[in-house]
Amino acid sequence: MGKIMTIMSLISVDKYPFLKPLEQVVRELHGISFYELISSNGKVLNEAKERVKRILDGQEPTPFKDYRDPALVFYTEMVILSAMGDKRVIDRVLQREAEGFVKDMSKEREDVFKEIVKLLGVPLEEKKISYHVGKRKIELVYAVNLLSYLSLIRGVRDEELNLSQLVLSQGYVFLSKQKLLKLIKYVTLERLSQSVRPITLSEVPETLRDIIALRQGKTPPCIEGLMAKKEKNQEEVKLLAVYKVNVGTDLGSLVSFLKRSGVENAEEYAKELLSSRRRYVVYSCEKMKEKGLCVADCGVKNPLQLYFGKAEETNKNL
Amino acid sequence: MKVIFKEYYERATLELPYDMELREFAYQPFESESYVRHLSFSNEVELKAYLAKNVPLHLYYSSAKYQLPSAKEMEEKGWMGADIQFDLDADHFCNVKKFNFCPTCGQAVEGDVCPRDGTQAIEYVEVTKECIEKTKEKAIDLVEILEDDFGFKPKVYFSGNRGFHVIVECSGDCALLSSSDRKQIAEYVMEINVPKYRGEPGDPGWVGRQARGKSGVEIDEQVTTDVKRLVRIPGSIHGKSGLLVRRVELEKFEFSKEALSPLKGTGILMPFVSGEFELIGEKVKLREKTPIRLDIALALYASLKGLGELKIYEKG
Repeated sequence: MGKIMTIMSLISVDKYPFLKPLEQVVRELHGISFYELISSNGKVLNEAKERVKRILDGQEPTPFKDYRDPALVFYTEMVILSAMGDKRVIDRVLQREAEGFVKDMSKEREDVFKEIVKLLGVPLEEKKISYHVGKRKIELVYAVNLLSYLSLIRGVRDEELNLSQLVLSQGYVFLSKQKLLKLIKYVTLERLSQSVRPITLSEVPETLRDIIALRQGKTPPCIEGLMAKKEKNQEEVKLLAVYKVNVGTDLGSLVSFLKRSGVENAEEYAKELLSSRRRYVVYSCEKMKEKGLCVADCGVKNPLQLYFGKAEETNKNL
Repeated sequence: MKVIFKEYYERATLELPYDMELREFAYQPFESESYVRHLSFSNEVELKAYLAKNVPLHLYYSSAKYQLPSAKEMEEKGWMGADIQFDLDADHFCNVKKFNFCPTCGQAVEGDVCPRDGTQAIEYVEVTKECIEKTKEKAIDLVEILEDDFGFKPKVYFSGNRGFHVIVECSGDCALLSSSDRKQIAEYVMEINVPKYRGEPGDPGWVGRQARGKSGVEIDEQVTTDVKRLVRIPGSIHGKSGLLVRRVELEKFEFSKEALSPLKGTGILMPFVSGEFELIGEKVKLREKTPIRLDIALALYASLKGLGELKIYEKG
């Protein structure tokens, strides 16, 4: 028990702020809500914005431990990403953050490293196994029980982490440090992703409205034109619905749009569109031109490129 | 034939799961191509009472456990998890003898219909003892992988026809493994995308197995990844062979009528075709339209394989 306490005290939540639960961060604010804080504390907000900007610029972000309040910066960064609602930006930032955290973890003392891995929800066990590569003996000292391992890699598309690529024995998956680091990168990424949730406009603090403006300012002219049209035919309604799905509209808004447009079984239709989000993509500009729906030469190949922009361009506005 | 099955089920010992009330039961009746599904029974007595009135040609329960196993729609059943199932079929491990013949004229035919009589051709697939032995060896390899690598405790069953079913009974997280999780297991077993190691025979996993000259086990991947599969009930009769689906110890397993048939006595078979056939590991010569008295297991087997018609059954 004493030993574990000592190891725990060696884990720096300043380095890994995502390990500090938001509830604890809020508790330490002594009565001020998190949103009140980011609405008023310009420093934290600017640090978080700067962080996102640097990552999108491909620059090294400031190490979390160098901030005065790393956890506040981290959670503010997550709110910024939520407010932006741009999947590509979110993916890019979280990917970079996960890589950074895992890089730091890899440099930790072995006992501290193992404890962090456990805190991440990877149930590492004290087991070792060895095998040979020619005359050389390889020892694997990281073991995760099979069922936990399978649940950890659910949804991970990385062949190197497939069972077939690993050494299994007696219901345990044995990993090299390199593969364990790969695994915890995905686990960390998943953990970070859970901190980014779609938020409604009313939830976004005034201080982040500039980001929302950024998010909403790029509706393609062809889509704007269709939206403004009073009598929409079936195809136009479907096109707009698909566009809304592509830009992350929630079920409620989609249903109300479809109802307004006179679609029967609006809820059923909306659910189908949302559940198959990957299968429906708004027409390309070429197709829009063919159908006479293109109204301006925007210099893109698909209207969605205007909405999402390039990550590099989004970053200029931060 | 239905009488034979009926009499068998009256005295049969079926190996049922301890949580049978959570399983869906299904059967294929005689004279029907479709299955009767969504049945639910609380205990063996209830099931056997049902079988006395509804004689099955094939009998199953679900590998999955449900909140409402008798619900008609899959979505309403409330899936609660499933055992893991592996199917090894003999025709994956050897070249089985296969041909089509006309049951009217007894001649071998190309295609599905006899050009002379216009009769629907029967496809005969012969599974030899040697072939079942090869499948058994692969089943032994599979069990070794499941025990040594996965830490599972698999149960092995003769499928009743031409292979083996290996079942891992699951509860908790194991039962909740998704189809993609099971695919990972299936691919590991089949040695798909396993690196080429240069290990020693005593090494763990595929490293040692490769060094021992072993290769992947070909299973029906679809069966393993399906979380809502039907499993033949151990103790039931396979309707395409007349043999029992039976739990086996692989090392002692023998493909013979003595070991696998539940019946005693003899039968008169009226063959549709002439030739020498291997029936449950025994060579039997048949002459078209010439009745032959055979052990009932062989006569029933030949009849269910389409080689002739079982005319008389004399109990032994």
